[in-house]
Amino acid sequence: MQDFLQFAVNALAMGGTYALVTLGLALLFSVMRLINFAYGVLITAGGYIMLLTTGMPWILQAALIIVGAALLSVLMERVAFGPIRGADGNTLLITSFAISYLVQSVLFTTVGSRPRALVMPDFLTGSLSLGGVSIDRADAATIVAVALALAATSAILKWTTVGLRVRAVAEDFTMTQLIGVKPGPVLALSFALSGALAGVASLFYLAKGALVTPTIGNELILIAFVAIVIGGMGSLLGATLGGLLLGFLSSGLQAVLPLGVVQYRDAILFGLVIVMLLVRPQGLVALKGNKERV
Amino acid sequence: MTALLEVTDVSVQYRHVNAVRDVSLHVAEGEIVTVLGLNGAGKSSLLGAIAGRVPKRSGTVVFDGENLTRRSMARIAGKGISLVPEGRHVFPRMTVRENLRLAETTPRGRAVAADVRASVLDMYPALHGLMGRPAGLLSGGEQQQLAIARALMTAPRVLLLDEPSLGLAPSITDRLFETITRFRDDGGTVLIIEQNVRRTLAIADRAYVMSRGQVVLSGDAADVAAREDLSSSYFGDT
Repeated sequence: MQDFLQFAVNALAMGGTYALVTLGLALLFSVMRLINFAYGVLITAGGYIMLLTTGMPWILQAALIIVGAALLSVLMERVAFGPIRGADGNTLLITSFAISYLVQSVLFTTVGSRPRALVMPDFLTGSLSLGGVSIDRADAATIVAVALALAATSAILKWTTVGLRVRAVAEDFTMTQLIGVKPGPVLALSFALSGALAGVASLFYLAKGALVTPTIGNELILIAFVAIVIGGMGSLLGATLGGLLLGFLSSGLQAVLPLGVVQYRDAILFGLVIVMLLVRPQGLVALKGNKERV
Repeated sequence: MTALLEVTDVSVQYRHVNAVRDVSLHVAEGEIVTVLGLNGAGKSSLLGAIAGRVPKRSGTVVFDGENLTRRSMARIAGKGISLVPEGRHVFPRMTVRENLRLAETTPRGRAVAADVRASVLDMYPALHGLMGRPAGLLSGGEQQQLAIARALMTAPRVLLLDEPSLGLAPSITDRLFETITRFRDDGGTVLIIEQNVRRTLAIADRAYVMSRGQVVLSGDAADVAAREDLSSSYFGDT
């Protein structure tokens, strides 16, 4: 029981972190068919912002990281993606690779490739005892933060005018404009929201290892893309569920695999993904509601 | 009568096909004008070019004295030219209420008085019980009513209607034509492409006939309707 609860908390924290990233990526895909490999840059940027602000109260660091990632995301849109809006998916994808490598190269030559240690506050280190069950403080904090971030995102999309416009652009870009909605601000807001999610993910993803390197965001992004494919391309709910599911699978394998096999965890995990895609290539959540009832 | 909408020498080209070639037309305030022609004559491309949806290779679009030729779709819509494209294009995963709210919250939609919005909804009682339903689950007739109601929420000065009766049951088509004449009676202006040619000519003031991207004939709707030589190819008469 103790083991199971620890596993569940750990899996939920890991899946939750993935879910933030998959939601952030799916948001961009749904509004402009962009597969943004440069998204990892935002995770990495969160780490360096934390490094630069060492000594500040954590809550202030967190705010700077979330706002910073949102602004960097909007900057990407303004400088790189906005001007080629409407180009085909490949062009957008390659642009995102270019941004990713550009930023990494700049980081390598300026701060260097050496991992830098991050100072984590007390409430994100060690473990706490909950009714006899010992759980990681970082995991508990991650779960709370993920729940808040997902709730805030869905509230914005569901209840605000800008959220309504983001969804409209995702469904029918041309018709949204024909109604009289200017697309620029809607795309900027989508990137800001997506960037803020990366900021939150960064805070808790980096808390585990307490290290930052110029490529730290990449691993997370790769896993997130797999999760998006599992969940269903273009569906925000599907992407979020895909992230959670992959976290659970990954933690589950970690827990049940015997010692000699556990180093093959990722190989087994991605093998399962291939099997799942053979069985259900459209992902878990296929888009519905497009059919007309006559 | 001076024209509210003045289209001059507009051409549209897709790759190597000249969909619209040097078309000029004008629509005065309060008029219903129809564009006739076979499939592929360039009618939809013409409406798309006016609304900014399709890039114009040449020509100008002037609306109420303002040159809108190079304006974006959103800017043109903001001036009060509202295109209801063929196939309705409701937002399928959004509810009926959200579809309407999207139009109500545009800069133009916000300027529309609440009682005007209510009167638009009164014209479509069928939508009242469907407000919370995803628009993709509505019937074709309901979707068409939603598409027009959504356009009316921004109080457009000109409605551009592309095949509004396509796929509708006869009773729903009756309501559609009522809506169009009522919009005109309230001071609105309409440019319409419609397969129900006889019926459209009956409510229209003037008509243009397009063939292979060009206007080949124009005149009063009654005169065009009387042209025996056009009846079999353009009016669907047998």
